[in-house]
Amino acid sequence: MSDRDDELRAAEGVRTKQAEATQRFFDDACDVEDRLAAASSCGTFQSDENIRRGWAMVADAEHDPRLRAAAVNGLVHALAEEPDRIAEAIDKLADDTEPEALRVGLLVALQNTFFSSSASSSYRPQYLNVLRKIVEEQLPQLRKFALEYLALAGDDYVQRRLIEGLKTPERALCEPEVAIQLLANDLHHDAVPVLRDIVASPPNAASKREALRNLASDAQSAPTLEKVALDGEEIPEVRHLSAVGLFQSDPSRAVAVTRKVVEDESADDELRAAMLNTLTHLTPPDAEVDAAFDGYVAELEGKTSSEPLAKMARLYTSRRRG
Amino acid sequence: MIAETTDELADRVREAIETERGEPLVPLLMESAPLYEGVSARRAARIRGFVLAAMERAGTPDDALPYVLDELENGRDPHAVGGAAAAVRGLAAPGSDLADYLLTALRNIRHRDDALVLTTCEAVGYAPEHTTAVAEIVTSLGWLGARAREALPALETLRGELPSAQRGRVERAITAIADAPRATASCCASRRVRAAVPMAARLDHVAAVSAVDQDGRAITLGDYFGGRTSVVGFFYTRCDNPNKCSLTITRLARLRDRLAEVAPGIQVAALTYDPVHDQPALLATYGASRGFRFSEAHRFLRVDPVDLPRVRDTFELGVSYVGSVVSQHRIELYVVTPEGLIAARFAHLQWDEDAVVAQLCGGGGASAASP
Repeated sequence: MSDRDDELRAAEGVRTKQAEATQRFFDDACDVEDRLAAASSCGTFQSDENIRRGWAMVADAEHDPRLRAAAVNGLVHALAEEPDRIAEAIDKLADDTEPEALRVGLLVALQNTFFSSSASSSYRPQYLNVLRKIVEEQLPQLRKFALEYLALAGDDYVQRRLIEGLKTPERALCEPEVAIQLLANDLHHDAVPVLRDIVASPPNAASKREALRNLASDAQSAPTLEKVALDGEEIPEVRHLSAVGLFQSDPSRAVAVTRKVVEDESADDELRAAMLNTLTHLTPPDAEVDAAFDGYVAELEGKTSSEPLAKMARLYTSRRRG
Repeated sequence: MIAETTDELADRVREAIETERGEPLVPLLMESAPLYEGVSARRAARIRGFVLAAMERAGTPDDALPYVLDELENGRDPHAVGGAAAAVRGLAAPGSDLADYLLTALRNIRHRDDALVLTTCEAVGYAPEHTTAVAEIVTSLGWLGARAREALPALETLRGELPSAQRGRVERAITAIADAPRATASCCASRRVRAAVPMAARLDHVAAVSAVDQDGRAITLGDYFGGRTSVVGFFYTRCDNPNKCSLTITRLARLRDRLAEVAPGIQVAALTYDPVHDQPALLATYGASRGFRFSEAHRFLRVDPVDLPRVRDTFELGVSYVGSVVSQHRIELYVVTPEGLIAARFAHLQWDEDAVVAQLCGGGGASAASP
């Protein structure tokens, strides 16, 4: 027996299992749990008959919602190949009387279709419109998918709503740190003042970190990043990410700030090591040379008891000496 | 007075519709209008879509045509393109070439379309009643009637590609065009828009402005432009509309090569709208990758960002910013004489190369240039 024969036999075995699972899935006489278990082995429906039965199950509100959602999963390929079905799927997705499980299944199938099939572009307006409806519904899983899709597309409405939620938490569509991550897909000038407010008065630590990361692209936020990087009361991780951000918005200011932290012997040694690492790799070629600082770092290797700091001092000095 | 806030904008639009006078809306379409300062690119496009769509009812004046055609030819935002398509239906004497522009818009926007509410410039959420850019384009083709006869094959193709639920509008447009009696159309709306606009601005105010070229060499604008006829285009490397800056530089490279043969004394330059971001290495890469051959005379320049407002005013650039980032701009190419006179501008549509060469060689520019 050749390897190819083995592969063909294995493929045939998979096909047989899929056919058996599909038969069980559509068998009304079987228990719902059995049918759901079979669904995971069905793959996507291939025959016209199974595709027809699949659509019938999706349309029939008498069926268990989980079975209907599983049927959608089997129709993913059929959906891409039958553009007229896309409109039906979008209408059903919009229908808030349908069970959430079915709508989540439809949303996943539609996302796949919009990614893979050019025929779907005729339905893009209808799809985006319905996603905007979903973000206002109190269904967390559906909302999450819709928010992600629209935010990635740089949708104006969702951007406005995310900013609104950061300003007014009771209007929020998601946690503040998630909102900032979503806004970061296409960060607009309108969001910058809100991010600065969050740094000044954060609803939680994660949102402050996200806000600082995203302020790096805004030159006018350099003073905010500098202040946080130099703040001895701030946690080291946040100070370091502020300094790294500053290298993006104002490199010469960033060099001065990181040098200052490295020289601050009251600061956490791991933070000083991280700052020195950043200086080693991000200092622009045209940065002003500070011989006193370089001398300080050269001596640091022998003076510090911190292994990471000594290691970084060695690396920095060897790079400076070229 | 030009509207500066969205409330003023809404009032202006309402008044224009009530009085059926579209003329006061035209200044609202200028890319440099105060209304757009600090406004994001997407919001700017929504405002343009709102103003343009209002012209369907207020009337679309001839002066609005450059903005309408610009969006149809180059636009990539569904709001602005949908609004421009609607504005076509406000024209009193539509030209026979409008169908071409609408078909270009259809190609540009078909895979980027969205649900639109063109009666507001605010970002709206779920809208049970909405239109789309494609719907507006198809409706306008039908409205053109016999003037859109050449669009019939494209509409037939579109009908075949659309799902059944969306074919009705296309079929109605096809019927309207096919059944319309042949009309004598005025020709051609775009010719006037594509032609050079005479200017009489002087470079004196910016002669001392320092600039750096793609190789990092410093030069003042006065030294660069003095003594030779120049063609200067504007662009920025972060532009995400392939129909604008990328194409502008590709075409500028072609123009530079052609001028090297027919009028070698003319220098070709491109100035970035975005000097904070566009450092020399970026300028060099952007130009070279689009076939622009740099030399002493042919350069890409970034002016000192502090002086950008003066350059913007002197050239009367059609650009707006949010912070230091460009939010919208038109296509623009200028002809500068050896004496520092900005003599002509080609704007909004991609320039006709023959017209630019004729302007340069026939207008005395080339003959006056030193070799």
